[in-house]
Amino acid sequence: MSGAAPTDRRPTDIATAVTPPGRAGTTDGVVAAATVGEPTPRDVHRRLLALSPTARVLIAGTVACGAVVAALVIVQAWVIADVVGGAVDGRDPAIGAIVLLVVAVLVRALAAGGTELLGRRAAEAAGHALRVLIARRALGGRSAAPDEARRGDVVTAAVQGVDALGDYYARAVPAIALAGGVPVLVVGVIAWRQPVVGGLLAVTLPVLVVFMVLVGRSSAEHARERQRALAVLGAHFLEVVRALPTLRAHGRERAQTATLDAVAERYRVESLGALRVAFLSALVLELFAMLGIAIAAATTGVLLATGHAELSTGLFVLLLAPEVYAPLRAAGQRFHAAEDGAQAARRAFLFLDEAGRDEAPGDRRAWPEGDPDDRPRAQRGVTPDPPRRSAGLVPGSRPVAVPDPVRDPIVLRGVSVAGSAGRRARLQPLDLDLVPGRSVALVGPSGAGKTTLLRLLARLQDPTAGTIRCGDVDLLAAAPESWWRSLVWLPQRPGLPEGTLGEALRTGSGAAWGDGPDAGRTARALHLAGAQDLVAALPGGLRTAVGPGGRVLSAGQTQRLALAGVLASTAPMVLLDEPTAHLDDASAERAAAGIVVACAGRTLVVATHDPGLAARCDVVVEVGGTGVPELLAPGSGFRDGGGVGMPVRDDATHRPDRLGTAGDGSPPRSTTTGAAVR
Amino acid sequence: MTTRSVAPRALRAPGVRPVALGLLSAVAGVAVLAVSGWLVVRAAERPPVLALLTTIVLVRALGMIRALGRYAERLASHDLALTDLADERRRWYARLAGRVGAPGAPGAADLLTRFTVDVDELQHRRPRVVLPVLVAVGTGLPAVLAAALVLPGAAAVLAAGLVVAVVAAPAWTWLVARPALGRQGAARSAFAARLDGALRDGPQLAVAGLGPATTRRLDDDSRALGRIDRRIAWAAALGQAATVAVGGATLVLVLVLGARATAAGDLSPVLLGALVLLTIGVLELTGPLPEAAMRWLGVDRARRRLDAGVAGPATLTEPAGPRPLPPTAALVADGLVHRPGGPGTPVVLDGVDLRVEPGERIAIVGPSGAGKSTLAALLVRLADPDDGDVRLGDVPLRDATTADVRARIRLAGQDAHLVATSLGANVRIGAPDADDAAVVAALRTAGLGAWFDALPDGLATLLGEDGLAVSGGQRQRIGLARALASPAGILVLDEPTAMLDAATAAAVVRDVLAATPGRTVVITTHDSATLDAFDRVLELRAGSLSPASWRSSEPARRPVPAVRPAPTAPRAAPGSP
Repeated sequence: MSGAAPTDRRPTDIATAVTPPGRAGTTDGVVAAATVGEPTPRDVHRRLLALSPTARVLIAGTVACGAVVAALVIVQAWVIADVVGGAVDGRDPAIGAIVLLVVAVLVRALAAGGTELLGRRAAEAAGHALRVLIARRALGGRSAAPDEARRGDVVTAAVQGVDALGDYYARAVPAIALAGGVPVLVVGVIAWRQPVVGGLLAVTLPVLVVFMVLVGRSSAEHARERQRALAVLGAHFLEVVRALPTLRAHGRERAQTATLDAVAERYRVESLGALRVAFLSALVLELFAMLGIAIAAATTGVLLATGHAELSTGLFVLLLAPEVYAPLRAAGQRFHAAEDGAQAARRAFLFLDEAGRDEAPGDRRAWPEGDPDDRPRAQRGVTPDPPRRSAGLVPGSRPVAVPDPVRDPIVLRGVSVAGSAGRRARLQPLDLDLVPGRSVALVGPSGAGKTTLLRLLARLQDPTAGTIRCGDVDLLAAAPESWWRSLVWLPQRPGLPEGTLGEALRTGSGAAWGDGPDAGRTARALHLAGAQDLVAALPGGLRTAVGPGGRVLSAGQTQRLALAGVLASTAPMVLLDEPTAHLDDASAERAAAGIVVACAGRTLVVATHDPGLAARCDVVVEVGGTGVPELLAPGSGFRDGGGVGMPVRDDATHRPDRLGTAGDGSPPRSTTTGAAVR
Repeated sequence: MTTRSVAPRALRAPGVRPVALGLLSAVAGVAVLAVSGWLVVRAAERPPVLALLTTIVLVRALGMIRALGRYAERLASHDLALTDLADERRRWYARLAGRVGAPGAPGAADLLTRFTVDVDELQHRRPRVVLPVLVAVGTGLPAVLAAALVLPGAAAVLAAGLVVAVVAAPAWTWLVARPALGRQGAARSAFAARLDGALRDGPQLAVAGLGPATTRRLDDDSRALGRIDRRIAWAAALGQAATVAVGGATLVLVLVLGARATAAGDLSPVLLGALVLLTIGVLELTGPLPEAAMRWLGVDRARRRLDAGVAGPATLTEPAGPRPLPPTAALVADGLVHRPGGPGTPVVLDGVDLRVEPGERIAIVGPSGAGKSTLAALLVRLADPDDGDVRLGDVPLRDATTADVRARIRLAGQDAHLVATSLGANVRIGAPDADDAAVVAALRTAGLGAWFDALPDGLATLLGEDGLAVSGGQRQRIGLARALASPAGILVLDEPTAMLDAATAAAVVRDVLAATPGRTVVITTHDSATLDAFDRVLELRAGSLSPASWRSSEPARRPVPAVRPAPTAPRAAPGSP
């Protein structure tokens, strides 16, 4: 759309250049990106209908109610024509006819209410299915957490989107379904009573449909144009609102009011231009309907006047003639409601698709769309927790091949993660051996793939290529749940789950897998993370409510508390992503020392920019880098030996400037693991 | 629009045209039915066919008017919706802008999305609530009058039916839906917050084994939302059923009354035909009213939420008689006391005194949560302190216009927002008049030179959701470039290096100081590696500032890049400062 890049804009008018949401392929490779696999409107419609079996049944009910209404309109027209015809002949209305009319009216009222009720309930069922799907996808542990802006969109689609779906299911779907059948039925009834008129109307129908298709094509184009204009306007407004603090800090907030007006005016004019064409199809329908009714009236009039028909028959035909076109008109008008409903759901589907992209192609464990309760019991998490770290069986999984990081090393070979279309690889091919009980620091510039590597180790995503094994077990084939029992993972920006701080610490330590920490271990972990003063300063101590709706904590405070939770665990494997970012020097140093103490004897992998923390680890591995091959620790000897935990060589002597020299002057340490970056 | 200029003045008001056109097409539609009813019965009396021709032409003309009027009305009501939408957006944006940073104002992403959704809801008030009511009433009155001329008894029934359908049925819907819609707001907010948390922390919760439990809880919450939705569905269904039933009952009564009168010879048969079809046509117009009642509830709730969200005094007030700021003067903070969370929340700054001479470079250090960001916001007057003053020379900032303050003092905050537009336009938010060279220079100073050189589209590279992905550190440095490019003589940089590795951080600080000769720079940081480049280092602790003690007491803690375990970039090679 030309609106995305006007020529006469001031450079700071952020307004003018806001990219339309979901604008497909922005030409070159760097920018293309997130639009891959964008659901088309047709896809969205199909998936909306497939979302929930309950909704499908309810929609069928809605359509049935609509059909009842249409049938009763015919009955009503017949009774009215009969009564009026009788009255003209000097007869009082018959009681039977009136009773029939009253019954028809009552049933029609019930059916009309039923259409509304079932349609809205269908929307509610579909909305629930959509929300459950999003929740499962978010909590399945197989999707990257979306950024803040997109989260807002997804939440809005899941919560407010139901309103638009209500219009979609209660109005658009029945109207479109009925438009297929009711006109033919009504024309048939008319033809039965008055073949000439029926024949004439029957001729208009196919002509009308052909005409509708022709006009509808260009109309649909323009209707989409309008949708897009509205979406751009909405996205722009949201963007300006989100940018408000930044704009204000630079004194630009008032200038945006003018921009808002200018953009709104431009899109108003553009939209109206599109609508003039889009509404043409409705106009054509109206005119055609009028023409049809006029033909029916005139023909009936002539037939009556020449004595070829009775009044009641003529009246019946006249009353029914508009009903031939009414469903088509309704469908034409509701088409827009359908588009709005689809638009609301699109964001949610976009998230579901994106989240799904990180799954391995063969991974069928991820929640399928459809009834969420179809999964085996074990996956639903209702099994009693088996003792943790038993390396025992996970109910529902095959008894073989349980990874045990206490005994076996974790071996990565040629592991890489491709970037999304056109973007740099998220992780360059890499070999790495992790020996039980040793600590490894992952270092490297931002964007090198440290976080990605940790996510691979946590089985939160799968590599594009390469293998990850723990002893004899292929981790990529094992159920992530069985692996998660053995590890704790602290993401870059951890959150605290809803509940009290004490509960948050317990769950942070993996207590949900069984074997939660006692008070002593919690207190020690708080001490090691440097968080005990923080807890002491909270009025409620460990009983303070945290998480969504709880006390608001800064990023640094949250990080220290989440770190304390992780340090309280006894998991054999600890994965930490930038645990000391956001902390001041003193706190960072304290936390670094605490981490090493708490994780002594366990496998620790920590991604960090903090040289103090890296220096405390047994091995430092540089990830990514500038793409220059850099052999930090030759892995060949280790690989040849095939042994476990055997020192290979002293890398500190090999590359004294890159490894093993701690800033605090501690002696170089031997390396027990190798990493090579190809 | 050209039609606007020739229309009478009253029709030019945006709300009038859709109503006028809506009435036109509705009246024409009812008239078509009434006249056809008359026509058919008249035809049955077997008049000469020619006598019917006038009426047939009239039916066609009315039909055309109805169709064209409907087309024009749809355009006009969409125009109205778009105009109202623009007005509401401007209005609420301005109100929100006045409240940014104030405690309780919407700030989180989900709240802002909610804010825009609510503002958008307001556009429906006139086209979807007011318009259907006016059209139903405006067409119903002449129809009742016409019926009264034909058969007063039937007119009374029609009037009563219309009153019930226009007032009682929507009111019933309103009453049934209201409690559910009232609960819906709170339930939706709670669910949204929880889902947002799940989306943010989902992987963390999954690894911690909380996936199934959290999913179950969200399922239950979602079901609770569903129960409320079902209640609303019942309200809508009852309203719809009531409207149809009332319309049907009215029609039955009118039909019986009319047929009896005709049978008794009191009413001409042709008028009976017209009366019955007129009744059918008018009652059809009441169909959308229950929906309008629910829409009104939605609009009303949205407005209440918006009012509550931006209620309260503006964050900053413009002085009645603004004083100009002196051209060069020291930035002085005097006895600052501030509770950023509002009254009743903890005191973060408790007597901060600071004097920064023109051209001086000062670093403020302190532990996480000491209030460094709060102090930075007060120094640039993004908020006013609860007590004490920030002055430029002897002019308190609150006595100057905010425009003047922004022109002189600029903040690069930690929460820099990147707008979905080009990189160049993003930097120019800080400096509308900067040319490309200045923008690129600012980016280089902010440590983005290598990154920028790798961009194929340079300053035209699109950022944001559909554009180039940008890391947290890059985002923050683009924010830094905004401040650097600005004409302000005093820069307050809040943690400009927080997300950078030590070597890059040191280089950025060095470059920033080198690129800002003569400008005053105040940096807050918790990174001690870069502190020796500053004229003074102050420590914020327990709510007040004091000369930092680290230099004398902990010299060993100053890391020297050359002896680091070299985890990072080549820049950390020996020889860098």
